[in-house]
Amino acid sequence: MSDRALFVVRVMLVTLVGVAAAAVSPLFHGNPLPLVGIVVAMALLYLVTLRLPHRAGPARADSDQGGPGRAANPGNLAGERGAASARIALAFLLATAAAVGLTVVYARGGQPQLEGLLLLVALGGIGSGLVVWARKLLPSATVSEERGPMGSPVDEEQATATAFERAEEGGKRRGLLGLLVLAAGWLGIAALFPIRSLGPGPGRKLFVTSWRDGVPLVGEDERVVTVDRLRVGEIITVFPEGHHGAADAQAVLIRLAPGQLRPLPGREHWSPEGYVAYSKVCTHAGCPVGLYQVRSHQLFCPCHQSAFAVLEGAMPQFGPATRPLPQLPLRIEHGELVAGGDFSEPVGPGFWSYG
Amino acid sequence: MIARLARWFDDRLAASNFVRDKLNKVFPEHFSFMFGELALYSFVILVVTGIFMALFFNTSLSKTVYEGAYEPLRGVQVSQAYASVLRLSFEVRAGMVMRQIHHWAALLFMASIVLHLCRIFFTGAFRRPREINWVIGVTLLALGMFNGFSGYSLPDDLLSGTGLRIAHAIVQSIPVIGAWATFLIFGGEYPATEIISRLYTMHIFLVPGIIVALISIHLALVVRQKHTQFPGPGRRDDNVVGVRLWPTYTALSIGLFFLVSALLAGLGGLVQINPVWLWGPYEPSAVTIAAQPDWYVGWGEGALRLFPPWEIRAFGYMVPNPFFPAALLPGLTFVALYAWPFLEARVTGDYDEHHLLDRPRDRPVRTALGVVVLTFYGILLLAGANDVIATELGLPIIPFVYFLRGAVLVLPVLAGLTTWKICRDLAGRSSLEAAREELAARTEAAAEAEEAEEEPAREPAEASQAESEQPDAATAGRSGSGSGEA
Amino acid sequence: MLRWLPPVVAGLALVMWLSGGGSPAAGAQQESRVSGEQLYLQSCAYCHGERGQGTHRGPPIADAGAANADYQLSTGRMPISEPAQQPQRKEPAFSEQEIAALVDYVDSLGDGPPIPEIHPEGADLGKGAELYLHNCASCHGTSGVGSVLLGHFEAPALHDSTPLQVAESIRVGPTTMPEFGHDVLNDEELNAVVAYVMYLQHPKDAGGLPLGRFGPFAEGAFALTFGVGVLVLITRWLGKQA
Repeated sequence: MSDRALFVVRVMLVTLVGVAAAAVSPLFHGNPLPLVGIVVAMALLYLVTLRLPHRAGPARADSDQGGPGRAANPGNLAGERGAASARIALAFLLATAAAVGLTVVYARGGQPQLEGLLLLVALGGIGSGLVVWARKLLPSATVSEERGPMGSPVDEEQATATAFERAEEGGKRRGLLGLLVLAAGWLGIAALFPIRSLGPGPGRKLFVTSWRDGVPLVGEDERVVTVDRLRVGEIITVFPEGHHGAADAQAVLIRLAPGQLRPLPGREHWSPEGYVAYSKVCTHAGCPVGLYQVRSHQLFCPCHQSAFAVLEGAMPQFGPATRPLPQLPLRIEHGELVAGGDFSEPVGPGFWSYG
Repeated sequence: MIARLARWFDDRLAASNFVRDKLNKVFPEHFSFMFGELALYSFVILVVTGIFMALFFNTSLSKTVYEGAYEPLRGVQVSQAYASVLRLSFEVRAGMVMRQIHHWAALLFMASIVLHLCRIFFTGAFRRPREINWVIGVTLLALGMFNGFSGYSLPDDLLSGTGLRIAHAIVQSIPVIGAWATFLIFGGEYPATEIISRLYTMHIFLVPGIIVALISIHLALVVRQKHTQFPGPGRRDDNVVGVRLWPTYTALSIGLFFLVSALLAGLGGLVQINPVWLWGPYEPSAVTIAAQPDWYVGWGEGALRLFPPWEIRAFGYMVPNPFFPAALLPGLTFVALYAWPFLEARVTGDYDEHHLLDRPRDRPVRTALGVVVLTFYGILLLAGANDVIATELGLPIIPFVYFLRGAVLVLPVLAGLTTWKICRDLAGRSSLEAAREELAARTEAAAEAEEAEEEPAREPAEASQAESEQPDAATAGRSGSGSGEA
Repeated sequence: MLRWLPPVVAGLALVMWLSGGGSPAAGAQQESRVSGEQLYLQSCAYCHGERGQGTHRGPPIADAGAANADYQLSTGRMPISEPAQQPQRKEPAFSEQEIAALVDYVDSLGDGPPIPEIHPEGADLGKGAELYLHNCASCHGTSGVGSVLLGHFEAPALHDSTPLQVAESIRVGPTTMPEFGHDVLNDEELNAVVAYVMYLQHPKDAGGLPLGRFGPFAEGAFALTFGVGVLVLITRWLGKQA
């Protein structure tokens, strides 16, 4: 490994130590001892794993580093191996200490940051010890193994084909084979039918919601919305009474100043007293269009940034949405807001038979 | 003791031959050949932590009033699933660390797969005879994405619910079968009640089972076909140069497993991931800004955000907008991935077996194409977080989206052309140096052969294998590209 | 060597103490009416008009009320030297007494919402969480990090807000935010939301480093840079490079 890579490893490890220290420091309420212990353990681990000559062995063919090889200097080698053994031992002892610490932390009720750190030291100690072992003590000869082409020789292929051809005798009844395929095929088709049990079919459900003519609007608090509930510029989420929380029926109710709205043709009477209601389900991918910008009278979908113009029938202005938010016709009965029917269009994302 | 145990087994299995053969297997040691192992070991950690978590997770979407250890949500109506994740996080000892290790492992599992895929692609390791393993690998990528997404969806927090809502819209957008598919998958009209328990079965049982099976085949094929290697002195198409599986590579690889686990444990304990207690429980009428999926599906989210407001309506039918960026694009992506080895062979007419890897610079067109693809999906990935990026950089959102729409079309082409040019320059230079390098390699190999002769032979009776570098290294490598990079 | 230092420091401290103690709060109270109007004419009237009627430079604020005035002044959003679409949070330009005086004056100009009285201590945090997730998270995010909005607007991060500022902004709906009156959020609910926002400023980061609480994007970025970086370095440490 090059010096530069070693340096980068070192920097990363130090970063990790820093991250660890920063993460756990608030947990000790000013007592620095555990933190010091952790940093010392990390530093030890760091010493163990670094500054390793990459490999000691006779074959240095593709080694990018110089230095004395094993064959060249046997005396040096023994010392190198001793140092490596010491380092490996240190790594394993560190791992043991951390593992013991882990049992103590667990037994005392557990603490996620300490658990992670001790696991890091324990696993890292074992891992780095093994790697040093492999690189410094185990045989590291570079070996060459022959390989042939992957295909079998022609005569072997033929012999195998002959083995298959044993079935020719008595096995080649085309009619029977056809019937076998027929039976298995139908069984396969029959086996697909239980998929139908997974759920009901869509029917007309994607075209309708539980809004009906005369159903009162209720807010998140399940109270019926009275005419004086909202002031101009306010917005709440409403549901049909009796269907609080219904995903497809949710709508936003906004109160505009009289005359601000430019209703679409045919919807002139859908917005009494400045109240206007649109489906809260984005026509793009179905997220709740919960973000209302009062100044520009825009509804904004936080998922994919579609924007809808509240004053102009919630027509899409920007983003991937192609269709306006369906509008809910409103009227006022006995001082309460009620729906004048279902939404103007099917709510939510599109589908094949939408039309 | 061990010898007796070994004999006991061998008397019943006659496995000595087989075992010795495997112990002697040679693995090249290039660091990039370990990316697949990174994925493998992340997967092992996923399974271990996943089993622990499965013991505590409740799949029910029925509502309960939370009364657990996390005070700020006490008294809030949440699903049993969400409550059980909070319990795992705050009340089960070591539960938090397990959950976070699991999530970090998932992110790095997918990252390792992509790294591995890039290594395979850019070095041409997918060529004959390794097309089967490419196909298996691409399948593993897809399964990993699916399982990552299903895991993200399980806790029933506000983010996972929003993700499922969008996934629902994507499935619904599929022509002809979309509406039926969503009703069957979710068990009724959205949100229905079945999806979490169904995803759970897939997440902990079906998909991991398939992944285990495919990884087994993947590894068996590596053993069968032997590993590829970079060209270099002594490395040819008909050999493989490296260290033996036993003991050195085994120790290295187990060491790698522990180091990967150590990183994941460190992340899991020290860096918070997916704090579902802050995201809050999912309600179909609630939503948050900064609603992102995990990174490996982030490019799909980016495509959804950037795709212009187009959809097809004709003859009383509709192909809705999300279909194109979120169903068609991923579909085409995977078709292209699956087809690539066969496509390339057809275009280049190269149907030969290859065990020596390409250097990316020597295949400028392939390398440039790879860079085009990576740039394209990289920009989509950033676009998937365009609100967070715009917020942090103080950019207005609408111009930023227009910029990204342009960038995703233009930058990949520019990056590809630049790559192509750089590759051509580098390859040109290396062909000039080729002769000099070959000479150097020849001299080096001869010196090593001498050195190897001095070494006492450790395994004298290996007929088919020879210690150290081959004396005939002079013929090694293909002229033009064969050089050991220092 | 530095024998001269202690007396000089002592002298400086004395001067600072004397000058600091020179403005009794009682005096400011008495003058509030006068200096409020004076401050208004100096710092606000150029854009908002002499009686808060507004000019082409700034909107009318006669009916903004005490809550809005206090919010804008205490968050440092007002005054601004040049008209901006959405003023940013900064250090307040006035002292607390001056702000109080200005707020009183603006309040006296017309008919607007008063500064809400809040008691977030002991409020129902769970209720606050529910209300926050339904009404606030769509713009400010579940963890209060804020977001860009359409047209150069933004929903600011909530990390620096005081309880009173949170309550005021809910009641008056500054800039492009919708307002939430008593019929939408009653006082008890307001207290609960304020308490939850205060909790979000220092939430329980039981998992470790919070990464800004930006969610999957920050986590993914961290995994792809730091995580993948360490993984690759590990393989480089183990493996060879040729």
